[in-house]
Amino acid sequence: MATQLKKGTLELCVIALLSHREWYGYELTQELNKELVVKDATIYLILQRLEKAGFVHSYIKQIEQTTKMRKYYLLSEEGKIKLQELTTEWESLKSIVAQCITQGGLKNE
Amino acid sequence: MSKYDYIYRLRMNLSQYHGNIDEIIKNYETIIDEMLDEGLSMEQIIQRLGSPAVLADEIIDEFKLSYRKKTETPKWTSIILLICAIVFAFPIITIIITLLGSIFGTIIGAIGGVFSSFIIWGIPEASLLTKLTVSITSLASSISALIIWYFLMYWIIKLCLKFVGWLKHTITNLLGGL
Repeated sequence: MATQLKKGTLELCVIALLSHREWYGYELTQELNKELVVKDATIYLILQRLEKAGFVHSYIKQIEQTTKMRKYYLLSEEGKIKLQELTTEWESLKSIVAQCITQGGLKNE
Repeated sequence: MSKYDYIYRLRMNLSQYHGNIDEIIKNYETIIDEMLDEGLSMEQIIQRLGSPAVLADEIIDEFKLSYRKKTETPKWTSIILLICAIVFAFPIITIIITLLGSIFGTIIGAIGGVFSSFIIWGIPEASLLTKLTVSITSLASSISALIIWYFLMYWIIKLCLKFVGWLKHTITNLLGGL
């Protein structure tokens, strides 16, 4: 997939995944890498950016019966609002791109 | 590279920038621990995250970290250095004057050598061998002396200019600070 296409939509993918449940960092990178080929560092930077912006919270949890610790990420209330905004923008963009591809022009709505 | 080496190098790369570096480092320690717990080797982790330098660049770019200015030398250090420089300067100046004096002697000697290499040919009593020997050795020693002195003086002048430049900069900063 083209790098520029991926770059623009990765943040939406991360927020969308977090809207369904909590994920820990490595698990999220593995999930995204199932279909997209993305550097783990990029995903971690997105998570840190989202956390800094307040869209995502994190906490450290110990795995049961082990000494291993994991950092889990979950969507905040602001994150849910951000997801709605991004989803609306995505739907709009999807429609525009589809018009360009299928109709060779854009209608003025 | 071990985890500690990686984190140390990442910290070194980021330490030149303003920002919550401790928090960033702690985050990446957690990330690396997580990946190690999942069974990845450090080589695999470096492949996924990038080298410490590459990762540092990405972090700096992502969070728009600003570069720290180099710390200025404290005023009292500058004053002490200035006093030392002035004291140190006296013997240096004496050496320079001596060297400058000797260069003139060398130039005069070299000119004399060049002349003697021609004058010898005007002495009828001297044999051809003597004339050739005197000419060649006089010319060769004159030219080599001039070349050596040229380079010596070049470096001495360059050092002096650097020293004067540093002195000027320090005095300007001190006066500016006062």
